[in-house]
Amino acid sequence: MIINFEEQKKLPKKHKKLKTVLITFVILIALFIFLIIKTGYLSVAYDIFKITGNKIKRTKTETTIHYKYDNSNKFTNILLLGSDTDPKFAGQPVLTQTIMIISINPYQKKIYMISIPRDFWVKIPGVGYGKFDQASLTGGFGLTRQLVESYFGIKIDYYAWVGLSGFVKLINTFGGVNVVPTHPVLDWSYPNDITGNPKLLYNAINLYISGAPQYMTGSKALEYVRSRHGDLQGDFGRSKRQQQVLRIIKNKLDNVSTLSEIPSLFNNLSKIVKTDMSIPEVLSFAQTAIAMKNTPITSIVLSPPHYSSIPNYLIDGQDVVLPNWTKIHALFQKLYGN
Amino acid sequence: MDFNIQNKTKEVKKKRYSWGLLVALILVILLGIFIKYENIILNILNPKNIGQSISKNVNTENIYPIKGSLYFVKNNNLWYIKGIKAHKVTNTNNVSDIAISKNGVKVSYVTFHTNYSNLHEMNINGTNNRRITQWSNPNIANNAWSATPTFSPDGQYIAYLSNIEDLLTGVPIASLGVWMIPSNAVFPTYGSQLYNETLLIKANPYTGGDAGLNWPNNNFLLYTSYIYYTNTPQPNSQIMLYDFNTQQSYPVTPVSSDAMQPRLSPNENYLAFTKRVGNNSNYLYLMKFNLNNILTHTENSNFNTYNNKILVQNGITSEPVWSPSGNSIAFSYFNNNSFDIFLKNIIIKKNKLSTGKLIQITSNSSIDSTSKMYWLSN
Repeated sequence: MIINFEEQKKLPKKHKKLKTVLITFVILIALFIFLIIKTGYLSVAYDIFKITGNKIKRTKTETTIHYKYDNSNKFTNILLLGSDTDPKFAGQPVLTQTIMIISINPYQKKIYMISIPRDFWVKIPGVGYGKFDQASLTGGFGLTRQLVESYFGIKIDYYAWVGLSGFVKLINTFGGVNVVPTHPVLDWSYPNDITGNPKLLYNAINLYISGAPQYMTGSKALEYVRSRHGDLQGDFGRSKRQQQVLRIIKNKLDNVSTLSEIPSLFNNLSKIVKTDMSIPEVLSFAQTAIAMKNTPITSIVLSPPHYSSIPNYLIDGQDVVLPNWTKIHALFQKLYGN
Repeated sequence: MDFNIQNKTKEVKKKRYSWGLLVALILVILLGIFIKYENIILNILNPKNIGQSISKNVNTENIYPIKGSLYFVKNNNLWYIKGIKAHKVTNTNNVSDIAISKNGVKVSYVTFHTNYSNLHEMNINGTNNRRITQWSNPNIANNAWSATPTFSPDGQYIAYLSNIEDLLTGVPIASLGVWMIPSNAVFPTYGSQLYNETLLIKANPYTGGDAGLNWPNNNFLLYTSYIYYTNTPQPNSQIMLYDFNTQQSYPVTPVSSDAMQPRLSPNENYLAFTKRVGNNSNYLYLMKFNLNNILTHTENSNFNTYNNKILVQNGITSEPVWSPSGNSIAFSYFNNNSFDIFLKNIIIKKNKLSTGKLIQITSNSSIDSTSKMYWLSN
């Protein structure tokens, strides 16, 4: 009796069946985000690292890591990494512009989502001081994992990485997302590198996204989480948008009622997401996710006083962020201590 | 004695009968009152009840005919619903951000392209289409965005959002301000782009700019402003009023209210708007509108003191629009993987406001939730 536009449905039926809280963490794992910036650092070590498989090894220095927090062993920690470089530098080492820790504690019913600024100035083994996102250039995702463990004092159990094209496909796999933007997004220099046209790889375009609630396809969602020039908070503002979209996906999966689609979904995602999780591990996570369906997520984007608030701090010509490890460890003690 | 006993028995029965009748009558009256004022009663018993559960309150069984014509955008085309039938007006697949003049004759809309967007105008039936702005420069730095037009009450002007200022100053601030242009303006060539355009409201830098324009009368224009508020890492939205007499802006909602998409009722007594809540929700609100209070008001940062009423307290709503009579508010609402048109009836008696059930008008329509809707009387 209602005016029906059934024939106009925009989402393929297949996608609509994707329900499964179970895959929540596959997705979280799968989802990340990326981004940005064309950079000059890539020339540092193209020949040292190649993304050739889904497994990464811990580095030899792992045994020196001291896990500081009493309760940290009750959490399962997943390191989510995202890069904007896959269309530009296929098969070559990539920066990890998005670095996020997802921590799940089913015993105390806690879920954390913590974004680490990619510009954190840290000592990278074999390199000296550099930005956090450069670790993957020289030591692959294993070195990034090691840095997170040693600097933040928690054990990373799994990792997952996705590039730009993968992110777009991932969002489309789930039928797009409906987003209430935090604010309109205007960017006068948004990279136009996923068109598939090699001539446009290094071009920039103007970007405008309305602040009104809206349906976003994978490419629109990518623009939303990737843009940063028009944001006074730059990388911080972008991280907030990334976390927002992750939570939307998580909520979407909360309504899922079947586990049966996980293996096929996992196989599809394995082509665009690199992870060291196996299907049984994903299924196990899915069951945990069901049990924690109503658990609120604590979202944290590290910001001052967790790092120096001096804007545009330059070291060796690089715009960097100086972490305040005392404050950060106090925060982590609060999160993982008791 | 027998007679008396019988009489007494009859009396007792009569009394019982009367009491029974009275109780039944009271129950019927109470039931009638409950049916008539169900929402008010439920609201008193549980203030969060109305609109909280969309599935319970959706009208899925009854036809709800639209009185007049309700215009909206779907798949980049202009549509309207009249009665219970939807009609497609355009087939150009490029229509976004519509505005309709108060007399229902003209439509302004926006076409979006890579790097820029342009303002257009056409008749309500889709004829006499013409482009007003002419952005299409191959150099991306020499382009601008046009968005969210709205006609002046007399239809002589169009207010809209643009970042033209970036071009004039050469310094991008990544924000759309509010500009005004004669609705009959013609820009035959790129070079004459800035002919007769006036900057009304400068946007706050690096916020994305202003949004949600509503120009109800000649004295003022309502809009949404984004601003970085103390201790908030991201800009918050608030509804503002631009007074054409003083050329000043005044807050309608507090700076941290996250309120947006203002739409004033036809009698200008109530303001419908939406408010961003939590990670990804957008509720529908209604508040009393008093121009004098706004113009003389010292801003109160406590949103709860603004005499608000929440019409929909769940999910994602967008772009409310009043019926010509002011008795209903239509809006888009995300339901079952689609933005559809829903409606709430507004009952105002003796200055007290209540609302009816949530009524679903369309299903699976995937309407454009970023574009305004317009509700005409004919």
